[in-house]
Amino acid sequence: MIDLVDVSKSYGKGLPAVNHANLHVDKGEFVFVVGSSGSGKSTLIKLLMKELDSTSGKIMVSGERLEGMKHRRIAKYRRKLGVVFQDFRLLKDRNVYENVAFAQRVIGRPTRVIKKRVPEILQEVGLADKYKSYPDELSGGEQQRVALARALVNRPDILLADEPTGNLDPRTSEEIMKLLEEINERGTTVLVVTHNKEIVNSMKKRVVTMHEGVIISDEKEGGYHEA
Amino acid sequence: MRPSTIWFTLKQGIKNIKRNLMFSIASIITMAACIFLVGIFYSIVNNVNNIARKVEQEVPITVFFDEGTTQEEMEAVGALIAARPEVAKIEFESAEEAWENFKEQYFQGSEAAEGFKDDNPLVNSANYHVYMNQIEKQNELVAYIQGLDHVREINQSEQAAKTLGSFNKLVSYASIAIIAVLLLISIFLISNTVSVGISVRKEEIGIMKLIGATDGFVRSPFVLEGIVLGVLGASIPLVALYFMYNSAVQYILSKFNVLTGVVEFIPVGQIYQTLLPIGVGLGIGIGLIGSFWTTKKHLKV
Repeated sequence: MIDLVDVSKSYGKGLPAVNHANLHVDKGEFVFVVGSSGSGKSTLIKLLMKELDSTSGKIMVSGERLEGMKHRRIAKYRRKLGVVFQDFRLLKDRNVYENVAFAQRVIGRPTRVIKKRVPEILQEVGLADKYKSYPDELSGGEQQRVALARALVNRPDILLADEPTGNLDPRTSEEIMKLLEEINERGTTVLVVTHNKEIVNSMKKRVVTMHEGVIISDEKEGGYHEA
Repeated sequence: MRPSTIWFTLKQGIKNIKRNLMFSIASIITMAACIFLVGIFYSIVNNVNNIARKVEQEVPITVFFDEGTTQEEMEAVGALIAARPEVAKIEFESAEEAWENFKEQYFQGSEAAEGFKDDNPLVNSANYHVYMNQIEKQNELVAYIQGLDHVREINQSEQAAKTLGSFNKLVSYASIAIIAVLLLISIFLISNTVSVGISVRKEEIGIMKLIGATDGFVRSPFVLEGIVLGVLGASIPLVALYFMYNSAVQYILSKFNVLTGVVEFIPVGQIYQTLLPIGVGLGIGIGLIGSFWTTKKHLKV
């Protein structure tokens, strides 16, 4: 599903943010990418989202090669991904329903499909009764659920989560992680970038550790290791 | 594009206009001023052209004869002129008729004319009025008539038409310069309005990009915003000019009585056959160029 072969990314002259990275993720896997600040994990996610271009190497995602991908193709490629962020990135002037429906409108889904699909996904993330609320009226955990619903509403092949629990308390973080696990069990490949040690250690999933742009370990049912 | 997507885009475009209402109003006013001027200059230039054409067609060439030319000789010259293909008709005016017409026009029943009762001051003014059907051949015809025997003098309408023509040129150049400046200002203001809209919606645009919106989808509300501003900017002056045109014509005719019957203004309907598509096209064009160019510059998606 995801293949990185000898991928590097440099910003200017300093050390590369990602340095000769090799990674293979199978369909349906759940992978944590961990590491301290500046380890290159966020750059890695940006490369996968095609927000950045690699300096060298080869990246294949869901059968598509990202290097040299035509500009026109990028939008279509991103529809295969669902993305969530630490700061949720919800539209403050729209309610929960509209925030989720927005993801469907953007890709041109007809209204009748949106009307059916949005309540379904809100039910899945446990927000069926809050569809009229605005982001400011929701807790951090609830906002992240909305972001998750938006990421999943178009049924992506892969879910990329960049520090999804960074702004949440431990209990809410656990709930969100549980939700991610459920999503993964339904067949979506999940890649989570985090530095939440407790969660990584408790979930016993595959853990890829990065340090100064280099992947220093890749363990099945691994734990969080400080570099 | 699906109807729901079109509707969504339309709503977004209108939302943009509402969000930066002041900028939108400024764009609309500038564009309205620009198209208003286009309309005014277009009307003036067309009417002056129309008058010039009428002058050329309706004011005849007048042919005067040498002193002592007999009636038969004049008729022979008349027959030669009438035989020319570019001549529509000729009318003979005897010296007496010329004096009667002159009296009527300039003395208007005054007794002063009676002093000339038995001594026609226009005794040698018997003439032919030559009306043409191919005005562009006027100079050729004048040269031909000048070459005929007994012809003393020819008065042609070319001068009046030429004067009107130069006036029209002046108006055209001045209007092109003013309109060009206003066009640039309009495009700049639309571009500015759209830029503000883009910066206000930066976050939303970022999210759209991540979700997989195409360039066209992200840009279309802004382009639409430009077009809506353009259409509004065009409609206001076009509607206003439509109603103002007839009033202006009435005003000119009432202020300058001498023009009544001489000058005929083009009906507003005829002016609008061309002005309407020009105005709407300009509005949409300015909106499209201003917004498309800005989204292309600022929306690297």
